[in-house]
Amino acid sequence: MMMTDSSINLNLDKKPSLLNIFYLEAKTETIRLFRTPGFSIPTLLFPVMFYTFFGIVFSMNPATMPTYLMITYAVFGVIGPALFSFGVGIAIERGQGWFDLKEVSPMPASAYIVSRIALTFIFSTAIIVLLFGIGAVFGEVRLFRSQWITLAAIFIFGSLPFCAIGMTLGLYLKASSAPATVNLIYLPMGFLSGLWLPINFLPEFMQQFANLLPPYHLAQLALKVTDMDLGFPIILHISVLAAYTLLFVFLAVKAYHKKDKQ
Amino acid sequence: MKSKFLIIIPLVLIAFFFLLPEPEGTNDYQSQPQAKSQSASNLQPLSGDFIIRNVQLYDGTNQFEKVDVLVQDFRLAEISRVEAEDLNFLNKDVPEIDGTGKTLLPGLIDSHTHAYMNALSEALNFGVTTELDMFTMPEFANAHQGKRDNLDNTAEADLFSATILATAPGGHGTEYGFEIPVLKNASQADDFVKQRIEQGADYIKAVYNSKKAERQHFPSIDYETIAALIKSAHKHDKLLVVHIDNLISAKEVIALGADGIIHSFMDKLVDQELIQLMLDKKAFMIATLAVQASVTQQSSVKELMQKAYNSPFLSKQQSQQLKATFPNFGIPAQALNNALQSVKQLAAAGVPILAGSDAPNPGTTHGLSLHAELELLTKAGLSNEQVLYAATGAAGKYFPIGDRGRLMKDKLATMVLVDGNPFVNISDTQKIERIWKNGVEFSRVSVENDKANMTFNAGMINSFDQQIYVTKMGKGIGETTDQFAGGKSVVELSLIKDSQNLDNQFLKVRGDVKSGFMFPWSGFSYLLGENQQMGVDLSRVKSLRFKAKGSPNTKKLSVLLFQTGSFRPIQKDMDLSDSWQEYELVLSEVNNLDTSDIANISIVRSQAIGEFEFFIDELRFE
Amino acid sequence: MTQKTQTVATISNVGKSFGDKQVLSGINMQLHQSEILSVLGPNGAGKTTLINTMLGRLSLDAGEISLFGHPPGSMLVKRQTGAMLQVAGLPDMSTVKEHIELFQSYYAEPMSYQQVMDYSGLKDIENQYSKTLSGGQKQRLLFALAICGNPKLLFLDEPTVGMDITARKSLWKAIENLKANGTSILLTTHYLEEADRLSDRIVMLSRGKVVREGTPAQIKSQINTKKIRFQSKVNISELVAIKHVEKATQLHAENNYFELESTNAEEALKELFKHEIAISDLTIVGAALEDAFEIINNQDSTSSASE
Repeated sequence: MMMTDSSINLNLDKKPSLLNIFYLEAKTETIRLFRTPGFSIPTLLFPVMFYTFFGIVFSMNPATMPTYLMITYAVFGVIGPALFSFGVGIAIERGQGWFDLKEVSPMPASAYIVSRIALTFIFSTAIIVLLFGIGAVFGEVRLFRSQWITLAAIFIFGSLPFCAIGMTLGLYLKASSAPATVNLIYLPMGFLSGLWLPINFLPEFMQQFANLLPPYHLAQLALKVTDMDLGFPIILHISVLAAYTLLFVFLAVKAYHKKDKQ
Repeated sequence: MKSKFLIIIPLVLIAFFFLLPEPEGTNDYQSQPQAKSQSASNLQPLSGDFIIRNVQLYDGTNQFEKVDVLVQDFRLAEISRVEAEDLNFLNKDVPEIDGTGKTLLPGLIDSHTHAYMNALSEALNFGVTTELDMFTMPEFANAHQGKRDNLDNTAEADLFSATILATAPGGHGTEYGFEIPVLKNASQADDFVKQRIEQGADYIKAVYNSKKAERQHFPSIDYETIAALIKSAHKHDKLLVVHIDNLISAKEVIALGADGIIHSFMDKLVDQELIQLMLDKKAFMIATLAVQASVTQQSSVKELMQKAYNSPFLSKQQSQQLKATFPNFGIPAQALNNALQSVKQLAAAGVPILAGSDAPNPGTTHGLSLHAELELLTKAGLSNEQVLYAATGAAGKYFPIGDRGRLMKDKLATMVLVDGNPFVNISDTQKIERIWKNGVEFSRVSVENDKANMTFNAGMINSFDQQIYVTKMGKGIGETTDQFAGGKSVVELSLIKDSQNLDNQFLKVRGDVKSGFMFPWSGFSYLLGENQQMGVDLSRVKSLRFKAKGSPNTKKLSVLLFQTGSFRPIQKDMDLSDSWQEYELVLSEVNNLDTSDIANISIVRSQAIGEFEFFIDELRFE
Repeated sequence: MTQKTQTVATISNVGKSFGDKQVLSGINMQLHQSEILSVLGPNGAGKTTLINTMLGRLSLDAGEISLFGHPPGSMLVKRQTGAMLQVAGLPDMSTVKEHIELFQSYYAEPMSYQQVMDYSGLKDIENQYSKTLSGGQKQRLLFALAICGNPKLLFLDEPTVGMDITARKSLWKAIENLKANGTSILLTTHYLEEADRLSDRIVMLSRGKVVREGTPAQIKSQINTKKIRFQSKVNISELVAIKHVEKATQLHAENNYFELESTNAEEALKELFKHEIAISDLTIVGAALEDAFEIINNQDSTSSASE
């Protein structure tokens, strides 16, 4: 039997500023990351180091390698923050019980997700700036402005499927094993997608396998900007990435609601 | 504090993206030659908007006898029959050219060249507005491919390229001194194709000689490999064309699905089997009769060079290229007729023939040699119309070159106005009045080397009393072997004290000529100019002189003389004895040597495999 | 003395099972404005499940819950609610102040920052990273996060765990202040002294059902048990035999202190004197909530055992 008490001095219609929440959440996540150099610096430097080694110093073909690898390492570099911030970040908060506290609070779920996406974007921008800078200065990479900008856009928005994958991982994985598991997925997936060495250096059957991996498709999409891709149609790559995004968003939502049974 | 960040950081990012460097137009020429403008009709160049009246038009497929052509905003706006008087067209307030007695052709296409250095401007200078390169370095190719779709690419021909050809280790293509990837077996084919595409190849070219061919004159990729290459190229949506020089190889590759063969063959006449195969597979042939005429020493290019409408527009280097000859490969003169006949039969049966010169092989050059090819194609029996099609619309039909080779409404006006009627007299294609590229008139130039060559006078080059490498004139002396071209020979230079005269030392050249490269050599080289591209004028010098001594295993040496820009030297052999002898090479007595333009003189052991040792002293000019 | 105050939360006939295990059944409860309600019970009684259903984290199999006239878990409700849950850790690299300001942003009319500091006593450490906080400080921060939005309804799950006595007393004072200002508070705790002291009403759960409900005084008074303590050189078997004595315990072996429990203390005393057992240092104590707790549990288990 419900009792509706309108005499309580409540104003249920008053709402807090959503924009303010988004801003504070994003700012909080970002500040936390900057304050954790133990995590943020390796994630930034890993692709930068590898690129400098394989793309510039030990480049096999100075005419094309620096550009090619700059692109594939940028793809590698923007996937990391997405997987870690969502995958590991959410798993750890779940393990702490902090996730539950936030769930129970009036924080809108979108703010939680958007703030992490914002964090991923900021991180990705930093990696892109570093790689572009090194490529331009040390690798003699020369691209038209429209190409630089298009590439940056592809990298940044291309991290979204990986945010979705990370979200699903974060909701399923146990906090203790999350970092290791995410690394076990991230590194081999990057290598097998032809991000560390050009895809045509891998044997044929591995190249076929790469078709299943989303980083491969993101890389091919980006390589089209400099006409260095394998020549498959754009729509193929976009479709695979979109399919992965939809699938993992679906799985994440399912994982989230499954908690009801606890 | 926060809001400052939010403004500063985006601004910094925007600034960053504006600072990222863009590609520059590359300048490949070491010394940019000064161009002396010499427009044949001495009229102001017309670009952008103009009318050509009363002209015969060939649009790449069809011939129109009398039309008026309106070019507007660099594009072909109107082509109208003279009879249909369109008042709007007639009253346009733009400059007019009278086309009476002249013919307007699409910019010509040379379907088989090797492009480097000044090739593309030399080509445009002769009305060739597109070149399909069949082997050049990717760096050069990319620099020019990048320009070809630019509206302002009006000073050179458009380049399409295969970049690096597919060949076997030690095969044809490896002898030019460039480090290129080769194929050892079929499993490497796909990667090779992908790498070429990654490097910017517009199509793939392979070199193939069947194991069943009579002449096995260079290592070749095998049957499985060419099959794999064809399959791979097609998988990646690229044409695959093949260099062959005999009938059996042609049949094999066409049967396997090659899109075209890029030479005709001289060993045998074509047979019905090949004709049918080529028809069934819809394959084409690029005849390159021009280079074959040169190989069989029957080129008539010397006459062409001297025509008044050609000679002013040939650079010195081009003249040298035309005068250069192939070494004797032992091919009978008669063989050229096989090629001519085969081309005739193929064309009669309906197999597409494309015009390609294989410039700048000896006896050919960019631009002019395409016209020579056109003459040879008519000599082979093709009709003038077929020949004109071979140099325009045909290339556009088979190669992915867009609208090039055709004149179409609303497309950029890339065309050549010639005096006369090439449908009657094919040589009229050489009587070029005007050339337009992308609607902008190109003023023909005679490319003179403004910087005159340095002149050397008689004098000591190196007495070898002090040291080996520095010479009194010229850039210096250094080791030279066929390792430059992928061979295995070695050499060691050292100074030996003269036991009889303590002040004197002489040069010992010791080495081992090993097989590996087609024309092995080992010895030392004397670079006269700044580099192989810059020659020296030796016309004031009578002879090259030096002392030389052989050894038990070395009874002969060769003196190689390199003209500027040439990779094939003129060779003079000399006999050696066990004791010191004086040697003299009188320059004027050397055939085909242009003494005003010599870049390099090398003294080497050539061809003879094995260890050797000889001695040189007092190298000088007199 | 009790005025008719408004009902903030109504739980009607709530039932919840996990698989075939019935964790809650037939729960009926109400929470009013300016009221502190404690939910007590042994482990497995269903406290956590009940809280979770009220927070909207679990769905109901039976019955209804209404908070402010709206279903639990809805954003409208959340904006009027604060919760202090048992949390193993917080994100390390934010300061106390940053945590609070972030949580405040979720609410339309949060408490002033100064007020939050007053309630939680965190002013001195407001710029410290949450990584460096002691257990008690962490609890205070979690409390601050629960109240910083000025909620009308506050859930406190074991709020004083890990705190020393001073901190605990400050927190109790803060809770009482909040109640005075109109907040309704639902409290779960293992510290029965805390429940006794703070609560306006208590609900006792056992095996998913409400077994007792009322003010602390009412509950305690439902138990007649008194404890009789004395020192004596008697043998414990003699004490057990006395009529009206339900339980006899020897408190200290060395100094012979005994404790008798009885629901009819007067009669038990009479019997004790009849036996002429020499005793000294006699005290009689009423039941504490703890005792009531135990007894009620025992009653419950015996009643269910006899089924």
